[in-house]
Amino acid sequence: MWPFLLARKQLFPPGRFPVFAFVSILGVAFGVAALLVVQTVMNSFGEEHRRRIRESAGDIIITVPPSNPLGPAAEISDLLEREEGVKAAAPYIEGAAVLLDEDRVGFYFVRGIDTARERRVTPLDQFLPAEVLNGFDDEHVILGSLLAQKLGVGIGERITLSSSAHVLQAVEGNRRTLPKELEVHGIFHTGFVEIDGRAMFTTLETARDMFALPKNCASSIHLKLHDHRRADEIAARLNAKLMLPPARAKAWTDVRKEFLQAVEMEKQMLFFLMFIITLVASFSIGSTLFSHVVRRTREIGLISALGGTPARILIVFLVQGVLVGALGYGIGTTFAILTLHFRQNIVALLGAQDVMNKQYLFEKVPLHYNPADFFAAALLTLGLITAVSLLPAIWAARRKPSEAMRDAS
Amino acid sequence: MDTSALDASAAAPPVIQATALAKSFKTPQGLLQVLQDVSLTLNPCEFASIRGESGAGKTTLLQVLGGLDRPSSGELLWNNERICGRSNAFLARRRARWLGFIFQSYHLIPELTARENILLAGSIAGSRSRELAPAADALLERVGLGGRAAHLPSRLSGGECQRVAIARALLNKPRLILADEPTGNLDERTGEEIMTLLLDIVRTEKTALILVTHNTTFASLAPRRLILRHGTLHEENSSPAQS
Repeated sequence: MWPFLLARKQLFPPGRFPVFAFVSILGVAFGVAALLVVQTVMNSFGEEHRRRIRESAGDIIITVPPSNPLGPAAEISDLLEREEGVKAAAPYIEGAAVLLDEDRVGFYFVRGIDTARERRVTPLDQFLPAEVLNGFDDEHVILGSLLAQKLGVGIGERITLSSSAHVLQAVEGNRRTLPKELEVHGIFHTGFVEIDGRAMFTTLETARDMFALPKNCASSIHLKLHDHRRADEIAARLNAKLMLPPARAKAWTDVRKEFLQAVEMEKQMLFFLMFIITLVASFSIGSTLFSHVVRRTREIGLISALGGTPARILIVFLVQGVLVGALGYGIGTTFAILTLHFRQNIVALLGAQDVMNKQYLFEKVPLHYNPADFFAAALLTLGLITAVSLLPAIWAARRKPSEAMRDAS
Repeated sequence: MDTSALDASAAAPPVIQATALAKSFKTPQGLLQVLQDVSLTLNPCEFASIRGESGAGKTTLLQVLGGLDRPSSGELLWNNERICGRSNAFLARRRARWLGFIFQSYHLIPELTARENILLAGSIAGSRSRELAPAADALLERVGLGGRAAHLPSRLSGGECQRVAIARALLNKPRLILADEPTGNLDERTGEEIMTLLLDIVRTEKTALILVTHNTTFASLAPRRLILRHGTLHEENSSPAQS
């Protein structure tokens, strides 16, 4: 169809550098690239945090106050595993511990686990070799990689841990448990700074002893579901059916809820800012397209004289706008993918690794492509560019051929 | 130049019939009457020239006759079909099939080659470029530009551009060609060549022609000579033009 041929030729004139097309397409491309990079990075942060929360906390956590430990933990776990939608359940004991070794004093998190059950709920096997997990016993402790590095200890070395229970007993003058000397049996690395830098694992029995809990009791039980998206629904059902206060089932979505909401809000705000930037870019392109159309006044008159209907003239200029939008989107997407591919180098170049570790708690910028972000950017770009192209296109289509020829001569 | 064949009128309806056409423009100083009471009938294959001083309204008349502008009053028929009051899209479709335009400044699309410029007229009229390609090539040969088909207008001289414009005007085999100062931008020799070519092609293609020109020599080649004076059209050496 001639309007498409003419649109293509006017956009990319043979034998000449296509200045208008180059500037307009690059404008759209940069806007799209910025939008996609920001959206993907923010999306990745949120997704990565959600994944880490599910990996460390499970899909649902059964919590009780410290004064009412859950017991018998193994039987309750078996009962929970029989619930519809629940894949596995693992009891654990979590609390603060003080490291008492000389030059290594500090507060850390200890989680006592039932290794066999825990492997079914959290991806321990991803971070530790099977032989480490299989040989893990009551005399052992497994440290996060950054914590081990900070403490300057390696596998086979020993550390002495004292729990919050020890501290309380000491204050009350009623010491019933003694600090634990444990051998570092393994070092795990998840890439999540908060866990690698502060967490350590012991067996359930060691943690019970450290935190002075009754036999067979645990401080929490966490569940792995067949479908994590059903966590809210299943948690509500467990609360209604099984839980007696003060025990409560809490879905993973409620763990660090405010933080996840802040990340989501940040993503939305950045999308809004990027939308404004894209809008401004679109209007600039609309204005460029308008001057491009005005320069074509003579040709508009000619096409009309040759028998081109106003609708076809509109198509000629609208197609140019849509082509600019589509090519800009394509190039912008390529820019975005390349930028995201080299994201780690860019963070290093900007000297932002520290911010990444401290603010977002990641060693590396995570990457999770979300097709919806790309679809939204395509819709937004093409929609805006088409809308701003319509105005000059309508102007061209409404020109009287006689006026167009007179104005151009 | 032999113009006798263009003189023959056929039994077919007039290609154009204008009755009491008037055209005025609103200006800050008031209404500017450019054309008044213009009547003209042109039969198939007829050749008429229109002369007039600068600003006499020759181009406006041609634009009104060609449906590029609407008359303020009067009646206009193309091929016995009433044109006034029709939509822009209707006029555009009829123009594509029935009329050919040749302009003083050629008005070629700079991004299209000579061949593509000619084919554009066919595409706009609804034909497939592939079907019209042989006809476009034949017309290019006819205007002496067989070897320049792939050249852009920027690589052609003024005379060559006007040859392309003539070929473009003829591609759809129009019943009437409206030529507005087709030699106005050309030197004398090239102008003569173009006129010879135009009249020759128009005669063989059996197309009616209205030639607007300043040039008395070219105007005198027409069997029917009209002059536009104070917005009114007169047969030369006679009273206002009638059918």
